[in-house]
Amino acid sequence: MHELSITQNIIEIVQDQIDIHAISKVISIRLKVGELAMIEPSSLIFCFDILTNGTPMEGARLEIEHVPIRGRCVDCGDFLVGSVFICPECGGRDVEVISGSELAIIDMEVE
Amino acid sequence: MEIKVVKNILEANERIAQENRRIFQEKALFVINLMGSPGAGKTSLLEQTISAIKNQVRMGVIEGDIQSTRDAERIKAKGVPVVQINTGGACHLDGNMIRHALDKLDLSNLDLLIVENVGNLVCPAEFKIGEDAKVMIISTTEGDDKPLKYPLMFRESNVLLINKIDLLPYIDCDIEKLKENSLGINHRLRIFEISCKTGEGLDKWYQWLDGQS
Repeated sequence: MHELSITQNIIEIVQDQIDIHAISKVISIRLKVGELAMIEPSSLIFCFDILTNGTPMEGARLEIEHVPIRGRCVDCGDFLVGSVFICPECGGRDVEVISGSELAIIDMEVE
Repeated sequence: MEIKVVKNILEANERIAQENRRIFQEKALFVINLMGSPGAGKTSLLEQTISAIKNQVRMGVIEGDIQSTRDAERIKAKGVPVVQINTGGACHLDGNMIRHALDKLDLSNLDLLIVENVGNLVCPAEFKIGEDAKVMIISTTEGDDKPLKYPLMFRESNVLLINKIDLLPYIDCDIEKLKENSLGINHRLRIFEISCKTGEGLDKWYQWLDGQS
């Protein structure tokens, strides 16, 4: 549901780049989206297509790299996958999230 | 041509949230971001809390809703300053909305500000507002599997209030499983079992609040 606000934020950041580099057309934008962010990619693309109509971003492709949740047990250093943060090795619950909360623009391809 | 960007998409919001935080610290104001599903009991918790502590703590409320001033009216009737934010469709509050609402409150005369976020189990967890603590309220009727389905809010919160425990005899929610599932996502969560209807368990929540400011 928060895809609309997220898309607006993406567009603002890309627009800054368009202004800085005097870009006439954006071909694609590469995003990293962590599983914890609970983003629905098709909804993000839907919002992006509507909001970029008539701008240099119109028709640009959103390349969304999905990052699964990975954690590291602070007690024993073991790695775990998924959102249940209990270490399968030692049962420790102090788990730091090392990936999966990303919400970032990596780069963009422009003309 | 490729342009490297490498920017957090929510950077703009996080900057404003930090500015809010500076304001809160200057005014020595403790700020809670209260989150939970529609109907979990956010406004009922506020009503109970205001009645219990308003003589000891100078308290203000920001109410976030998609539309209507119903919640703000309920809070106003309790006799504390309140500002209603209508997001007009947006499913969460963000730093900027809070920033504007702050202009309508006399912050120098407040010790505690509780921001009731839009009823939603997903989006509010993603947007910082400059708060000191995130408090989440879930009701037993929502089911014990919710932490597994909506992990982010449980992960981000400092406190989990499990509301409507008076209904436990009538429903299939296993409260021990609900607590276990929540702690599996965030072992630091402080959990309080409460009923805003009967008042059961609320004293422990007030004690926690008292210990913060």
